[in-house]
Amino acid sequence: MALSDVNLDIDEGEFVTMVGPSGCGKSTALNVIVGLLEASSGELLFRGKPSVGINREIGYVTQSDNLFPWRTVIENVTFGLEMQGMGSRAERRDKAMALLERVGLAGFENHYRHELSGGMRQRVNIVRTLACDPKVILLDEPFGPLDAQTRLQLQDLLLELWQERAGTTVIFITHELTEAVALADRVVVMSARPGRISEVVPVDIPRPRDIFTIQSDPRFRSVYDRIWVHLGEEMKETAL
Amino acid sequence: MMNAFQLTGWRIAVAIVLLAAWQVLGGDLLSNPAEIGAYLWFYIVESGDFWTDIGSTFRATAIGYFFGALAGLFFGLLLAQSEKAALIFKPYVLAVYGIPRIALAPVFIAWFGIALLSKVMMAGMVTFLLVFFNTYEGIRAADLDLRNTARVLGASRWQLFYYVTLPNASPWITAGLRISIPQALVGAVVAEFIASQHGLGFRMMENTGQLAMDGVMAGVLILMLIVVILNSLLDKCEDYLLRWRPKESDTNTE
Repeated sequence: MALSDVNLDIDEGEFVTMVGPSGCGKSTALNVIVGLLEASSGELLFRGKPSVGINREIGYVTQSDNLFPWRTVIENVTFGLEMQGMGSRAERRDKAMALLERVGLAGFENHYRHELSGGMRQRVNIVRTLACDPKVILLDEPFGPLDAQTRLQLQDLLLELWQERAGTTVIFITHELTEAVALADRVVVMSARPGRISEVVPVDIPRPRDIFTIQSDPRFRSVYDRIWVHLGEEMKETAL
Repeated sequence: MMNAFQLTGWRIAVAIVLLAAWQVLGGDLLSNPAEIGAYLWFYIVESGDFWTDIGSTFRATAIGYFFGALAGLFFGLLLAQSEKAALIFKPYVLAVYGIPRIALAPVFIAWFGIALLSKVMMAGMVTFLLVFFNTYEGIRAADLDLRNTARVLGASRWQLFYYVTLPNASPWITAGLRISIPQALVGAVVAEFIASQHGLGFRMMENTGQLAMDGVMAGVLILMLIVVILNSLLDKCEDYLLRWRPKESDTNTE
């Protein structure tokens, strides 16, 4: 069993991050939420109603970009709209172009995946999810393989995009505590074997936040240290 | 490194040396370039038999290839749909694939006669096996992460197949369609070796029977040229169809 006793209420428009050691079932939790996996027991409620199967109101940004290599950038971004039959071809392309411009990829719309850098691929991946206007966006270590600088830039971009979309809920998985605290309204700390929630820590730093300077904020430090102590104890236990 | 000009120069030099050596050393069994050239002139220009022969071989190859590829695609896609069927038929598929295809030529002559049909069937069977196997493997190799991504983005079962599984398998399918073209030609020629009244293979056997080695060598040369030309045309088609794939020379900008 990958997960047990995961009880969590997430409010509309909230930005929640989940941290925890590898093997604590963070990704499993997301797969259950989006409907790719079925929970063996328990209940998943979406806006008060049980959710069964793939939920189209949820977007999922995975760690590997999973761009379709045979489609150009813009064809990737329009994929969801095309599958769901939304808008005409021209409307879909306009919407995708606007999003690509928003994330600084204007001029790359006809490139293929292998012609893009890692950071660009992940931006396309995020925009592909946003194109369908999901109510909830799940991100599974989306910036994991990127270098530190690109990572910061994308965190900043993600926060902006989220703030432009009032009422959009974000669940963001990471193993980087700095990232978890800097982005979140609440940090969900998980522990392993079986995966469970060990603590939920609110982050009372006002928005909009400056991702580049937030680490020197004393409130950031206090939340960070509190979780770090907790994770440290956890690690000692599992090491034995 | 050499530049392109020097490279071409060296290649031509090698060709001249090889041809000269052949001319000097080639005895009765190897013939020599001058005799082969004279035969080719006679065969292609004076008698004009070449055109009937190549027409006949091409017709068999093309018809066989067309139907073989169609059937290979159809059954490859069909079998790959069902996990159960795939599991049951796997050893049989592998066994059939393992048959040395040329070994079936005499059987096909017995079944389909010495006219066009047996050559068509031979080319068709070779194509069918290659296309079938590649299509099947390509579909089975579908990337689970990409499939899940498409599902989350709202793809239905049919859309998943058409927009993800099929393009994902396209390098395999294209490879199958591509390698089977020269193979289909070989299939048809082999059937002509065994029994026929026309075709490049027929002409080669006829010349062999009369120990006319210039004619036999000319046949080998013609087949070689056809396959080389076909391959370079197919490379161009493949490059276009699979233009989304990174070239091996591309350095990844991570």
